[in-house]
Amino acid sequence: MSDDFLRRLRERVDAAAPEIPVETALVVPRARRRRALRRSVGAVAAVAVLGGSAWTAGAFWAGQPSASMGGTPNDVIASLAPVPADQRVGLIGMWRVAAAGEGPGTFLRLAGPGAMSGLEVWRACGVIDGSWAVGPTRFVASTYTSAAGCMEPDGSMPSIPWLYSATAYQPDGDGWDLIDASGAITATLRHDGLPAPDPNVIASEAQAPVADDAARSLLSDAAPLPTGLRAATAAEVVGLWVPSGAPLATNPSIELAGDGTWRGSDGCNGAGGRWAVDVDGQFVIPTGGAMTAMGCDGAPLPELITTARRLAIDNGQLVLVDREGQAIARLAWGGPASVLPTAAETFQATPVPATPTATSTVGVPTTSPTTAPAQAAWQVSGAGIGPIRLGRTLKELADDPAVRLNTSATPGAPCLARFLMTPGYQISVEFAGAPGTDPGNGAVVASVSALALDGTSAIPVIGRSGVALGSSAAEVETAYPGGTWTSATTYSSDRTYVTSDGSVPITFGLAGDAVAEILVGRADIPVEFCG
Amino acid sequence: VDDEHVDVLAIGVPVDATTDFELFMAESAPALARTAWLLCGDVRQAEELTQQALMRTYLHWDRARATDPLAYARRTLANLRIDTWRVRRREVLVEPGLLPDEAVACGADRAADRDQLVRALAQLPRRTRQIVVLRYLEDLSERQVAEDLGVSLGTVKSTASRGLAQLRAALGEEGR
Repeated sequence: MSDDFLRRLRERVDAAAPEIPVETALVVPRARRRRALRRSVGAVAAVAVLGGSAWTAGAFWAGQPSASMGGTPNDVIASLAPVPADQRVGLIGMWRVAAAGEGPGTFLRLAGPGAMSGLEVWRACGVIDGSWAVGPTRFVASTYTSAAGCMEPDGSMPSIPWLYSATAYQPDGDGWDLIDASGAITATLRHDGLPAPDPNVIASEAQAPVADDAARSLLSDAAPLPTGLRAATAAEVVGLWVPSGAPLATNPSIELAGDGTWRGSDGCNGAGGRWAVDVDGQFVIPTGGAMTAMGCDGAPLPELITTARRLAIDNGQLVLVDREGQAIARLAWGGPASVLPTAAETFQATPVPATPTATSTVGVPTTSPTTAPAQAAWQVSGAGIGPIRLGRTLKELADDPAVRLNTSATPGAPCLARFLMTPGYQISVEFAGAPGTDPGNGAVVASVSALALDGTSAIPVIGRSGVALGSSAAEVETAYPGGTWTSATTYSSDRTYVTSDGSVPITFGLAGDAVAEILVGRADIPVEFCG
Repeated sequence: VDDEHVDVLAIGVPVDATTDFELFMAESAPALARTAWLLCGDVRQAEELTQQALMRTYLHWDRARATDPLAYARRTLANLRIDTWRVRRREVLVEPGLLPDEAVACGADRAADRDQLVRALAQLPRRTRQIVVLRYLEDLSERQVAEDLGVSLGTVKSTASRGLAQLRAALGEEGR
């Protein structure tokens, strides 16, 4: 009887359903932040804000050029006159932008620094959202979301050379100049009218913002370091930093790159932006682009780093000190930044053209992300996916800088599932070994899969004939003729196409007509194998 | 959830409404988390899914509480695209965190049964899983399921019975 089955099923579910403690304290604050973020991005590209997912950071990074000289002040900047705190509030306003390559109707709206949507670039195509921060001389801007009409053709964030190359600022009459590393003016900001209203943006956003006490406070100088702490130089803080306590399986980290960009993860979601150390040692960093995952078993490093206003090195640890002069975190050295791929390499969701586009070169004297090398594709074959080859041990992969496994071995768990989380996609690796096998040296890769976190995102995991995540069913069939379709589902796909390379099965999972998952290796490791 | 871009101009939720929401949240979170777990099969994802559903409910709280807020939150939850989450394809196979700290026999049985249930549900196509979970495991009416998922009543009827049979087969209960 079906009724009997249903009754038994419900009883089983009731008995087996786990207690799931839901941390609800952050729901309302996050909703408010998100509302603030969404307020002005009506027609934004769909990648923007879902859960602050790692994909957000992917799109973010794809358009986030390096500052031309990064976090380290040079002589040009050091020679600029510091702008007193009470004058910095004059930056708040709706500014008409005059910059090489920028249209005549572009405005830069600077509202409360550090806030989501504290910075808006108003172009004819729509509004680009970001945040900003200043010290006595340094100006640092990051952008997160963009009206779809302003995005680059490849889906990356719009090129705004005058904004990204700006690294300092100076008053200029009743306006301001943004200045690059060579001391050249990248843009002048003038009070001159208001942008045309944008139907996707709340009308008040098209007006000049008013400086309030909160903004004044945020623009003031941070309190000095606590006694006994020595201010860190920019050069000293470049590198990878991790929580100083017990290691977390999710590997939260922050990387401050020498080019003035940073990226990090709370262990679940990525975030990133730009940073600088000002002449007086103040740490200048706008709010990060992605939210910390509420349920994450990690550490909120992106939030902590963007709350810091001074940095110190103490006993080899990086001490983050907030505006009030309170130490808020101690981070341990995790290695030089150069061990990791650069931000552009890792986060570039799509291969970039080798030559700069016309728009991206205007006004940019140095590198921009369009000149960054594309990440080498990871080839899909019967051997595995890229460097994650079947049969390699966990230790080999952990030691391979090209791999960066996201979790460490769990002693006593011979069957291990490990993940690499990078914006836009995830690589899952399953290891297998006989019960009792030392997981580090004995367990070997049994299968590896690449998943798109968004059903259509393109990532550089490439099979025959360029088949990748996002490819169509027809493209898969053409590249891998003779496979079989099954209705087997995974969480990410509705049906699968099973083919092989040599004796190794390769399985494509499709969501709708797009490849959402590529799996190499055995998909059917019996659960008993996991001990 | 396509109303993502609707109502974005609303400024703030009044304080008393926030309190109201927080009461609702405390009350409904466990039930929503259970639904989420049935839909996705993973405890951590379920928690995050629940948080996201609650967050979206809060963003539309005026509308949600005017009718049935739990139904609103559940509908939001059911329609979140689970495949855009950090998808862990076979995480259900290895979930050491779910195993009891001590090897208590009944705990291990429970974990094993949980594993079997989750994997059986995971074999259903997404839409079928949504319909089976809401119709049979959350005991919603066919009409409610149809409204929640934006499908026709006929689709719910046919998919639900077929899905239940698939689930039964997956659990090895055919013929019982």
